[in-house]
Amino acid sequence: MLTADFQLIMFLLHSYDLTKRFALTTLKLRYRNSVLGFFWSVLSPLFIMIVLSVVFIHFFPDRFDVKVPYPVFLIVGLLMWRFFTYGTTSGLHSITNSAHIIRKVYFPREILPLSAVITALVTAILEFAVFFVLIICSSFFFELGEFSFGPAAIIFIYFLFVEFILVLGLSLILSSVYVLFRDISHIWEVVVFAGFFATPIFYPMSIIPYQYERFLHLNPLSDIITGAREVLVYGNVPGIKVFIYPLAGSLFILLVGISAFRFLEKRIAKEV
Amino acid sequence: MAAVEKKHTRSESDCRPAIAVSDLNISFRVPSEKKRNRLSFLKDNLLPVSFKTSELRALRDVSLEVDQGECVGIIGENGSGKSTLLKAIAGILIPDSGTVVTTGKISPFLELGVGFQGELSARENIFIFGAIMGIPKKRMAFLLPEIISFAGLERFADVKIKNFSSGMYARLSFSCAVSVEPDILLIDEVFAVGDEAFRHKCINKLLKFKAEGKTIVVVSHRLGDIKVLCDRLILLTGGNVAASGDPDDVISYYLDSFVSEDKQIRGDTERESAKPGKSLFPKKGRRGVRTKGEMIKRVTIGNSNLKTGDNLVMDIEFEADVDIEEPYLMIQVFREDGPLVFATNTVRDSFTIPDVERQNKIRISFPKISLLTGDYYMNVELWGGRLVECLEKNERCASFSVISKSKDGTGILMMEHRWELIPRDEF
Repeated sequence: MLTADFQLIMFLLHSYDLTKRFALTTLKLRYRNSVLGFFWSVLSPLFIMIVLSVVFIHFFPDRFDVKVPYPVFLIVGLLMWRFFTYGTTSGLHSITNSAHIIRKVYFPREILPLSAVITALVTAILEFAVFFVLIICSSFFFELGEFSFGPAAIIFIYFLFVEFILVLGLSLILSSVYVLFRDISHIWEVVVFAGFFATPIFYPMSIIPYQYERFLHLNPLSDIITGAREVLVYGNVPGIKVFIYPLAGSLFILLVGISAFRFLEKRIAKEV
Repeated sequence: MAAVEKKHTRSESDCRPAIAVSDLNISFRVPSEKKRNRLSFLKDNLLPVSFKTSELRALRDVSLEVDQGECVGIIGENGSGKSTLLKAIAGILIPDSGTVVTTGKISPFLELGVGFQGELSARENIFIFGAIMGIPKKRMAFLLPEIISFAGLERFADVKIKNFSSGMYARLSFSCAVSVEPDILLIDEVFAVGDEAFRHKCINKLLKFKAEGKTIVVVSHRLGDIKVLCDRLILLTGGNVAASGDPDDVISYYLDSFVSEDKQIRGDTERESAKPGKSLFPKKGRRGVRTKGEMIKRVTIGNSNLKTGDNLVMDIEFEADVDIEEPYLMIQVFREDGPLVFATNTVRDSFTIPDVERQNKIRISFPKISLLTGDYYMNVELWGGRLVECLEKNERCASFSVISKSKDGTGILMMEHRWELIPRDEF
């Protein structure tokens, strides 16, 4: 098992070039033929945030007592969630979308879900960059409550990385299973829809009654989002549990993902 | 346990075979016509133990070795496992059992233009191709001008390839494919597409690769091309290696197998598909076509050893047990290594066959044949009836060989020609 994983890592290192190329191609193709091109990757999150802010300020007065303007609270969780959904759904289709290449050339198949997730990560980073600019600008005009953007924000990279592991693990599972069992895409749609409510995105962890809280820890994303919000919005360094739990969960899912992928790989080329 | 080993070490590689395949088995799940419920589908696909599946065994215990610098051709009918074998060697398919060991860098040309994106420019696509083929980016940047100039696309390097003509696309993908500097080339009918000039270019390039001592494995239905190119041929039948050896021997063995198969088909078509080692794909259009000796009784050739310029005479005797509306005869002349030399029929020549019910003898004569050295055979078919269908097919019913003098030239046939000097004032 160890040597197999070592081989996988070597494989991935060798294929760094190909991974980068695939990810770049996806990014390039996304905004081809549109007039504003790459600006859309900045403009679309900007508009989404503006709409959300307007909607939530008007229809959801601060009933969760989040101590910062609700849109700020919401947008951080929502951007993390967008990374999750975009990463897993594009990961899910990554193998079947490249069926024509898989049938003709050999390369480590892990590259396809990996580059899909990397594309999603790049998108997420761009969206967060827009968010930072927006929040810094608005701090001059609005009262932002307990919002504090400090050195703790650097820890955000850690949470983004943990989420990357989680999304990669899920993409490995989903993409390989999808080749043999197409229903998984519909199942995943439902899971993602339910996940939006089962994860503290638009509500804080604190509103969950104590006896149910541990169930929420089973979902690595709830700690990832809580942690990211803690460091980005409140400027606090969260407790050690918020670091350990999601990392353990994500690594476990990644291991399951690698094993599932290896197990199904033999049949991918035959049946894709 | 299945294993695909890839050895990239060059140091100890000199003596070992470039490709060693042993006891290779690959089977595919064939979509069953049976209506199955969702649950059994889940069971079949997700659990390691599969319950009821119809399997197509594409390769059965195939073992073969290809030495370094050898050029091997793989021939066989459709569905005999040629492409599957090539994909297994390329590492695309993982064997169910058996091993594939390759030494050296492999470049599979299973398709031209793998990974090309219509929305991107030629330049970007060349880099994508390089990344897929595992060529470092720096090396690719070095090769880029060469690839573009070989394809003759200097002016179009930054044009999206969806706007390319199909010829430009083919040139780009071909020059990409040959820019890879592999030790082993795997070619699957890739060069059978395109016009004659393109095919000619491809074959020349392959001959150049061969001269450089590269190992080549090529799958093709063009027996003529494959004979020119290969040192050795392997014949696959129903996933088994049926024959391997000298190209001429294997080709004639392969062609002979059709004749004996036709004899079998006449008796029992069902038995054929049930026999192990036979292709699972049924042959089209053979049902109801009678073969050999039912109506066409005898085909004789006057003299089967001819020289270029001799007369060729063939007599066809036939007799039917029923009256056939508007019968006509069709003949085809083939050269042994594949190409159809000539075909015609009595309708085309406005020759009417009066009455099939009685015994007939029809003579076709070719005065002064212009064919050059080679072995030729003929097919005779009897067509007719209300549906105008092939009633009887008599393959390879006559054969002859032609010897030509060196002054007749070389090729398939001697073309009428003359040389003359044009006086200077007519330039």
